[in-house]
Amino acid sequence: MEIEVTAMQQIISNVFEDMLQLPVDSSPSESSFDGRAIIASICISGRSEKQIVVEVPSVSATLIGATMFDVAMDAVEPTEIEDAVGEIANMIGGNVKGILPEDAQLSLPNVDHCEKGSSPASGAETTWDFAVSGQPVRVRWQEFDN
Amino acid sequence: MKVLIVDDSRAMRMIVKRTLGKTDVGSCDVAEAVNGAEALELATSEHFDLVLCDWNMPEMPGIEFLKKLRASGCEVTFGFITSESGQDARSLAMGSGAQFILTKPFTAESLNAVLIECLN
Repeated sequence: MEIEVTAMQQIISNVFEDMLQLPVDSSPSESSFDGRAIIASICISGRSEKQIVVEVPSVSATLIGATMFDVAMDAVEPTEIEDAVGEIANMIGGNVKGILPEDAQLSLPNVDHCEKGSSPASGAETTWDFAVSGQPVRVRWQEFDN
Repeated sequence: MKVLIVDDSRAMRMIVKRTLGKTDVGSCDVAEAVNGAEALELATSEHFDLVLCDWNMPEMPGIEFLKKLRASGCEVTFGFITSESGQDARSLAMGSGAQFILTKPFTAESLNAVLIECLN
């Protein structure tokens, strides 16, 4: 099932702008995912296995962590950053689950690190790039073959 | 007012606590628990005026905590703050004795609205 661009933009806006007061640019001119990134994923199990993946370079992850914990960028701990990015995936995944036309189960978020971004899924995938306070955030919607 | 905030995410517990302070409820005496099992122990041994609880948590999810809490005879005002947004979750929550279910992401305004309604 495809997720409408406008639906994802609304979810992203609700999470970052309304809740965290971080401005979102839905059409960033460029997105840099070359360095170390944090990957948070959450599975949605229904008629098929689906997954929301939130991919953020270190600086974006630090910004999200500092905002959620209400501390300076240089004061946020790595475990706090992982917790914060995982919760972002949880909120996006929960809201996506809410617009699916089927009963589904939401997993707990899983957080990992990688050097150059995540690999594309083996099934169908849609990717959205945003800038949050000028920092890149990538959201992937992956649907796997049963 | 004494409030118990239950969420496995420390980031989310901090956000709930901070947002609660921006509502008409104002500053509260807040206790925290990381899952339903820890929350059940606290809520059955101390008096709370309000429980704000996540749904999906390891060890004991929020709905199981609520059912056990109500089975113990505790009638504390109970609200879910969760990413679960489906009608099935809402029906299960309300049928199990919750006063409200607020979907994440939320704002001070949306939290205030549900708190005013259930605490009045």
